[in-house]
This record gives sequence, structure tokens and C-alpha cells, in this order.
Amino acid sequence: MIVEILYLVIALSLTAPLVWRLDGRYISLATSIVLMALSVYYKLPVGVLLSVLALSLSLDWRWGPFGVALSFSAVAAVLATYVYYAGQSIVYSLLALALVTAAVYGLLAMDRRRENVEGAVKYLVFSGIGKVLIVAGYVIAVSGWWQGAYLLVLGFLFELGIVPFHAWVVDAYALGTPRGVAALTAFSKLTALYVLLAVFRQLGGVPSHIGAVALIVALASMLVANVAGLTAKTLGRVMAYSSVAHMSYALTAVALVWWLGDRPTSLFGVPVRASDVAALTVVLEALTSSIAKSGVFGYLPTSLSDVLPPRRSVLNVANVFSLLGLPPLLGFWPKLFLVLLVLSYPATWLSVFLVSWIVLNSATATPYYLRAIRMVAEAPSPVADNVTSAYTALASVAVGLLMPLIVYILA
Amino acid sequence: MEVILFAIFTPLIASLVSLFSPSEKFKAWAVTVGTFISALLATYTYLTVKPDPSSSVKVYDWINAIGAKIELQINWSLPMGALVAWLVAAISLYSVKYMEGDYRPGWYWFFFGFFATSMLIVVYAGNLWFLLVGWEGVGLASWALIGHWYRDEYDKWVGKEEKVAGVPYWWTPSKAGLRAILTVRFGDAFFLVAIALFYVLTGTVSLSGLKSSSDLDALKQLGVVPLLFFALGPFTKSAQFPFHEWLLTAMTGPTSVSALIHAATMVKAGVYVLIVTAPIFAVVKGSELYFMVVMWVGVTTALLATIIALTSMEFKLVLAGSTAANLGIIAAATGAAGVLGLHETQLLNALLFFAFLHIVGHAVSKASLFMGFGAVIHETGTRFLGEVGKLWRHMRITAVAMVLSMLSLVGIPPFVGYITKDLALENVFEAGHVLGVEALAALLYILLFLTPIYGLRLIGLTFFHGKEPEEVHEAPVLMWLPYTALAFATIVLGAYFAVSIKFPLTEALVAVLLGFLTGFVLYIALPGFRSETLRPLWEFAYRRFYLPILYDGVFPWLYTWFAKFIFVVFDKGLFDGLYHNVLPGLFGIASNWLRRLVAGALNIYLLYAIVGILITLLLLVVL
Repeated sequence: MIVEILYLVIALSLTAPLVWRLDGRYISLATSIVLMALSVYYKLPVGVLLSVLALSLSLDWRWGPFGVALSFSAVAAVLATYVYYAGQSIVYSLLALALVTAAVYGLLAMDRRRENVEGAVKYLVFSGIGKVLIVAGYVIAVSGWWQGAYLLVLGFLFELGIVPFHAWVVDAYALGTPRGVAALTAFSKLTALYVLLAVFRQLGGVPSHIGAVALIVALASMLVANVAGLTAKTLGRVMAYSSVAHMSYALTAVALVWWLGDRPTSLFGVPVRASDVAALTVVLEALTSSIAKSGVFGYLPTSLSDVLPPRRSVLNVANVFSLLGLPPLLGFWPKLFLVLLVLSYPATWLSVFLVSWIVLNSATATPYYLRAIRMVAEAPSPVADNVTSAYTALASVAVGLLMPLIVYILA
Repeated sequence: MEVILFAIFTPLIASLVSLFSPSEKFKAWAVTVGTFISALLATYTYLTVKPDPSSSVKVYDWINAIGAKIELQINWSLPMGALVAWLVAAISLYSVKYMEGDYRPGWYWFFFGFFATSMLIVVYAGNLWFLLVGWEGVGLASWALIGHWYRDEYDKWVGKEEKVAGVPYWWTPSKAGLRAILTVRFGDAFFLVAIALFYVLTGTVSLSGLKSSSDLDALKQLGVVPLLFFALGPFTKSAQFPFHEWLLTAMTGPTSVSALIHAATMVKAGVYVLIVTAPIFAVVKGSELYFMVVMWVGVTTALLATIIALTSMEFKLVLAGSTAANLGIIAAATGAAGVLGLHETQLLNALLFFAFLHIVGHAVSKASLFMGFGAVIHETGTRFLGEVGKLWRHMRITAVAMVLSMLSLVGIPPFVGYITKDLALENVFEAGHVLGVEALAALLYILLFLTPIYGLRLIGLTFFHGKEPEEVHEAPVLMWLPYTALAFATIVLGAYFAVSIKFPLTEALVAVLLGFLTGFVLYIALPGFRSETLRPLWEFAYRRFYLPILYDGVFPWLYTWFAKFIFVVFDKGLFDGLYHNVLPGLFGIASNWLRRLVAGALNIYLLYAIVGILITLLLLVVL
């Protein structure tokens, strides 16, 4: 698939001048269809989900020249996914990360307002720092130095927007163009998480003390994000803190395995390894956050997200419930698997503490998700649901309902 | 065994059947027929089954984990069951006419049958958990029937609309019902704990099991505390001091209810259980203290309740005071039997038999008196003593019946009340003599002296003196028949007991006759008397020693204060304050502070990043 994607990238680059003649949405539409076909051919379900998401975004909005950027971001996400599942070279993952960052930067600034550019620049700076650290760290780590792992972890803290490196997330979400933010949540964050999984699988984990540091930072970030979100006033900021929290949950899963080591466990009675459960948690967190938030941002017609929604959305209520973690929606499962992962380790008091921490954080987050639902559901009529909100709501519900079957098949 | 079960449950079946028709007559007669069938079956059992104090008849294993079984005892229960069943039947027949045209007949008749079954369970139960079922059932029925007249009309109250020290001195049916069940529940809590303790410490709560030799050692080591806990159940149920108040205000219920539950049967359940369990508790180490407590509580109740009866100004209140007094006598006799027969089983059983006899003697007399005075209230429309008088001209049959029953109640020979009371008090006299407490005899003489006075006061001021009403006529036959039959039964039973048991002749008779003479002069020959000198004493007694101020003023105030304290400090202050003010406030402050960190300036964000890197490096070093 790497070759096909390479060709696709070349084709996109060559067809880019077409945006002067026709709207970029058609290019992204075509790209989405190709990605869908490739994902089906190479049996990549996540790729299918992402390509359909790109398709729906293309159908909903006029993208102008930024249709190409949307296409690149979708291609990068699918590439990162494929690299992880196919066990391909990390270089491709890093390339995907770079590609998605450039694309999303443009998308965030696409309405060309001062605030949009501000949000995009902040994203670029921190994401850029993160990528530098990731690349440097990877090079050092594969050379045999454990400090490389530290730099890698630090880089991902920047990339994912973990506290205290999270401030850019709030501005990017609030100030960026909502459609660009949809791409950010859908493709950029997901790409970063798959790169994280791929890099650390190749390295064979990290030293235990670095895992401990990562875990402490992740837990603190979880709390700070959920508490800060309680008084966030606009939809964009609420979703930003939600994103930080979700990334913190994902990091907690992998950090736990890094710290305490991999061990055999079971999931729904099927024997698995803790690292598999952690990876599954990360993937599901990525999907939850990307699908649900792209639905929420993808229906806003405004130039900024730092406002109350001007029109009502009914279907996005399901997306926000998924972010809240309401069973049996998609967002419930990564939280459950995280708890099961914690319980698979024999340290009783640690398990009690971690489970309590996770549950309390989830409970703390409830008020701001409910406020987000009120913002979305009580906005003025008429209902402004579009293809993206419909598709993402459907995905949040359907994947959630099918999750036990999916896990059983995967295991 | 099946016969006993049918005797127990027929009234309940009848009351359930009565629910299926809206007709008052159907309800009344269905339950009445059920109670008569029960009475016949109980009599059959009494006549054909041989008493066996050492064994219980097991019907069903109920909850093995706590030793709860449906078991029947066939000892004291045989005569008691027959007595209770016939009194229930007689009063049921009386109620057909007495309650005719009243509101809420479904409620009344349902709980009437329910009560009868519950009471028979108490009588026949051979297992303390099974007994508790009936015990609670009679308590529930008592509440339901005391509060039957839930509209709280003035003529159904006890007391007048007046306050003493700010505390209302009137009790409506609703309030009285609550008073009754709360008092009884208080004792039941200790009763229940005691039963649980018996099970834990001896492994059984079967009455025959507790007596058997295999559990004897465990029983001996039981200790007196569980016994005292146990005694609180009977004390509250039988309205012993200081738990007697509920019985007095229970007179808000229909008089048939007062006759049945609050004179003849339910209140006897407590003293009956004291009698039945006395042979079991006699082997417990330290049980002498238990029996002494029972005896003294009984004597105190008898004396104080007699004084209350002497100064009450309502027909039913006089009778209620008298009931409490006689229950005190039975309790005292039981306690005294325990003190005297502690180490001699045969003597103990003989003395307990005398105590038991007074249950019979009092029940027959008091049931008749309540029904008769219920007829007086029914016909005259007043509950107050002295508002109507000279009723012997208008209600001759009732007058005769009441005179006979009252003579029995106050202990005039040759009525059954004299024989049973004298035999019971002989226990107490003897116990006082053995213990060297001569003051006890003095107290008993005072009791015996005062009793006829209150009885003759009630009779004199109602039937011989006072303001004659214009339109009052005799009670209907369905009403006067039961109480007149019982009145004559006091003579018949008296003769029977005199021949088959004993006709006692002691110095106590002198006190009784002196009291009778005094009462006759004051209230039969004369129309009563007033004394300004004695007025303060009278007022003190009339106000029931101001105890209602404690129960209806001080205790409710304390509980209300405590409830408000819990509400203000814990519920509103601590929990509500924490969940609705403190925690949200703290989270709000923290959240606002954290949000303000995202100030918008990129250089500030980079500063945070640098701080973050330093923190992670520090953590690396530390860990």
C-alpha cells in the first residue's frame, strides 16, 4: 500500500493546480474514494472509517484550494494507520506525521482571519517542536541511548497536547477554522497516536522510569484538563479540554505498560497481553476523539469555534455522549479497557488508586460534556445536521455496539 | 395440630373474604362467623388435647439460619386460646351493631380479623420468632383500630381541648394510634434483640428447646441483660409503668376495640409471655433480679394506674386505668412467682397458674365493662363521666350487667375477679414477706382499698346520680347480649374456680371491703364529693402525674431538635454544603485558574513548555 499511497501523493501534488478551476472538494472527494478502495483492498477498517470521514467532510463544505490539504491530511492518517498495522518502516510514519501537520496548519487558517492564523501558528509551533523531538529522540533511541526514549516521550507530549504542553490545543481548537479543526481532530491526532504506537512497538517499549514519568504526567494532565474544562464557556474550548483529556487517557494506557512491563492478561475471557490492551485503548481513544469531534466541528458554519453554536444539531448529541463515555457508545470502550488494563496488574493499592482516578476524572468531566450537549441541542433552530454529523454519529453508535464482537475477532 | 392452625387462621381468612364485598353487613357477619368458628375450634382443642409443656408441635421449618420455625406450644396456650377466641367472638358480635353505619367498615373488619389471628399466633406460638410475627401483627392492628376514626372528630378524642404547660392535653385517634405503635415498637426493638441473643447464645428459640436439657447449660449462662431486654417487649405491650400512657389514649378507638384489644387480649399478650417464659428464665443465672424487676414494675403500675382510674373524668379512661392496674397485678404476681419458685419448679408453676388465672378473671370482667360502657357512650352520645347520670332508669339491663362486672373487677367475693385477684396478690404478699419488704404489703393494701372506690365511683356517677338525660334507651340486643352474658359469667366462673381451685380468704379481703364501704358511701349513697384540700392531689392525679408533658412535650421536642440538628449540621451543612457549595466552589476556582493560564501569548506557552520539561527531568532524576 505504501507504493499506492506514494502514487496518490504524487497525483495530488500534480492535480493541485486544478483548484484554480474547480473547488478543492472534488479533489478530496476523489482522494477519499481512492483511499476507501485501498483500505478495503488492504483490509484496513480504520482506513475505511477515515476515508469515509474525509468523504463526508468533502460533501459538506466548499474547501476551495484547501481541498488538497484535506486530501493530504486524510492520506497521511491512512498511511500512519497502515504503517502500524502492517509493521512497515517508521520512516513512513514520520513522513505521515510531517505531512499531516503541514496540511492541517493550512486548514486551520483557511478562513484567513487573524484568529484562524493565530490558532494555526500555535499548532504549527508546538507540533513542530514535538516533531523535532520525536525525530531526534527516535534517532538517539535506535542508536541505543535510553535518553532517546525520553525525547520521544517529550515529543509526543508536545504533539498530543498533554499538560503542561497543552495551551496550544485550546487556541488551535477555539481560534482555528472549524472545518480545519475537524481535520485536526480527525487526522492529525489520530496520525500522532498511530505513530506513537508504531515507534514504541519498534523500540520495544521504554525504560521503566521514563514510563513512570509519562504516567505521572498523563494522570496530572487528565485531571487538569477535566477541571479546566468545567468552566470553559464556548464549544471550541470545551472540545479542546476534552481532547487533552482523551489524549491523557491514551497516554496513561501506554505509560502503564512502559512502567510496569508487559504481562499476560485476558479480555472478555480471551488471553491477550497488556500491551495489546494498551494499544487497543489508544486506538479507540483516537477513533473516539477523531470521529466525535470531527462531527461536532464539521457542522459549524462559523469562522471560529470560540462561539456558541449558531444552529442546533441533534445527531452531535450522540457524539458528545460518546466523548463522555456513555455505554454502549464508542467512547465508553477505551475507558473500560483502560480500567481492565489497570486491573490486570497485581498491585492492589495501585489498581485501586488508578481506577479511582480514572473514574473520578470521568465523573468530573460529565458537567462540561452535558454543557456541550446543551450548547449543541439548545442552539437556535433549524437543525443544521449534515453528512459529517450523521456519519460520525452513526459511527460512534455502530462501532460502540459492535465493539465486543470486534474485540473478540481481534483477540 | 391442624385444628389449632384452623383456629388461628380462620379469622384472617374471614377478614380477607370480607374485602370482596362492599356491603357492611357482609363484612361484619363474615368476620363474626369466622371468629365463632375459631372459638369453637379453640374450645375443641382445649377439651381434647392434653397439655404437654415439654414439647412443641413443629409445623414448618421457616428460616433455619436463625432458628425460626412455625411451631405450636400446647400448654398455657390451650385455656388462653379458648379464652381469647371466645372474647373475640363475643366482641365481634357486639361490634356488628356497635359499628353499624360507621364510616370505613372495610378497614375495621379487616383489621379485626387480622388482629384475632395475630393474637392467636402469640398465644399458640412455640417459637419466639413465630411469636414475634403475631406480636407485631397485634401491634399493627392496634394502630389501625385505635386510629380507625381518622377524621378525628371531637367526640372520639381522649381529653378536652386544653393545654398544660403548653402541651396539648387532648389526643385524637390519629395521634393516639401513633402513640401506641411508637411505644410498643420501642419495646419491640429490645424484644427482638433479646430473641436474637437467645438464638446466638443457646442455639434455639423454640420454647420447648430452651427448656430441654441439651441447651440448659447455655441457657444458665445467658445472663440477666437479655432477660431484661426481653421484658421490655411485654412491659410496653402490657402498658407497664412508665409505658402505660399509650393504653390510656388508646381509648380513642371504638369501644369494641378497647374491649377486645386494650382490655381482654392484646395487652394480656405481654403478661402472658412473661408467664410462659418464666419457667425457662428461672434457670438463668441472676434471674432473681429479673423477677424482682418484673414484680416491682407490676406493683408500681398497679398503684399508679389505680390512682389514675380514681381521678379520670371519662368512662373509658377509668376502665383503661383499671386495665393497666390489673396488668400490673398480673405482672407483679408473675415476678413474685419467679422470686418464690426460683429453685422449685412445681411451686413456680403453681404460682404462675395463679397469675394466669387473673388474666382470665380480669379479661371476662373488663370485656363486659368496656362493652357496657361502650353502649352507654353509644346511647348517650357523651364520653365524659358526670355529663349524664341516673341511667339505671333507662338502661336497666346494662346497669345490672355493669354492676355485676364491676363487683367482679374490684374484687368482691364471690365473683371471679375476687378469686383470681386474691390468688395473684397472694404471690406478691408472700414474696414481700420472704424478701422482708413489709412496705410491699402496705402498698398492696392501699391498692386493694382504692380499687373498689374507683369502681363504685364509675357506677354511682353513671347509673345512680347525675343529670338524667331525656332520650336514652337500652342498647340493642346484639349489643347487650354479649356483655350481659359475660357479666353473669363472672359469677359462674367465680363459682367454678372456688370449687375447683380455691376460695381464698385473707386479710386482703378486709382492705377490699373497707374500700367498698368507702366507695359505697361516697358514690352510691352520696353523689360523690369534692374537697378543696385534696384538690392539688386530685389535680396531680387527674393530669396523670403530668407524664404526658414528658411524652408529648419534652420527648417530641428533643427528637425534633435532634432531627433539626442532624438536618442543619449534617444534611444541609455538611453534605449539601459540601456537594452543592464547597466542592463546586473549589472546582470552579481551580478551573478558572487553570483556564486563565491559557492566556493567549505564545511566549507564555513556551514558558509552560520549558517548565514542563524541567518537571519531567526532575521526575526522571527522582524516580
